[in-house]
Amino acid sequence: MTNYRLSPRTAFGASEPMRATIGKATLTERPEFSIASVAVRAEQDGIAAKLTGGADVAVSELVQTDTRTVFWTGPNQWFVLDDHSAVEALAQTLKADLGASASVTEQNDGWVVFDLTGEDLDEVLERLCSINLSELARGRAQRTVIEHVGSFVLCLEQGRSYRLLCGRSFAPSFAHAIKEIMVSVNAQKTLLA
Amino acid sequence: MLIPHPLLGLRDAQEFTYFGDASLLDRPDGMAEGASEQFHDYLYLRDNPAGEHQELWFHEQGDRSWLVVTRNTLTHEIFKVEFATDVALARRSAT
Repeated sequence: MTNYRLSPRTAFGASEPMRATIGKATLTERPEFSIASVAVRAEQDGIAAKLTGGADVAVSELVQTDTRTVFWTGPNQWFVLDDHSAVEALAQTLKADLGASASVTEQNDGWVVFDLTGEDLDEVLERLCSINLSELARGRAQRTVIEHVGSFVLCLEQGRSYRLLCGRSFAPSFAHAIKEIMVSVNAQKTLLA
Repeated sequence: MLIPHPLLGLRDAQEFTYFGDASLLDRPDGMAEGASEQFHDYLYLRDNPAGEHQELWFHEQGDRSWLVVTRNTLTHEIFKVEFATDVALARRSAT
């Protein structure tokens, strides 16, 4: 039998996560999340509470537990992020919990997670997407388009910390677009200072 | 144009894709008598009203729901936006 020696690669084909700091903003790739999507089947209830272990997940909101982030993606649909090293097969784990009440899809290789942290991030995000940022308070999640790429924007702390998700194959283009804007926002600030 | 999504509020029309006349929800029964005639009409015949019109829109870059938008084609005023599932279920229970 052939012995394959496989080493994990990030969405950028590297062994270490992508990280870029420009001015006061930092974009970090977060490969340590396992991802799954959950859609409720007909006439089933209380699925969101099962995912979070108690709390319901309202429209356009996210709920964080000790290890898990659950966010609303559509009517009766959610994304779940968990610790990849502890629950790599998140979809299987959820399916075992939910049984026939919901359809679970593995998204580990479908989406990439980024964290955008720093100060005055509204200036960066308002150049990237059409979200009404004044309404995107802590705990809100919204799907949008960034650089023609469908993506999710999760607000962890308004203006200072956001979690972004995009399709894995778009990761380099997505990160490039965000870094370009970070550069231009920083340049403007430097010029005006 | 802004579309008032029933759950998410006002959203830019760029987030949506237009699919066509909401009569597409009324797919004929393929096993019924005269099905080929009915499918011909379903597929090719559309009203093209200058005024109130019901349309299917897909919230592609949002919550990915199908919506029925009731809109005035002359003024672009939007009267009503409903989930297509609700409209389809209501029509089914009405027949």
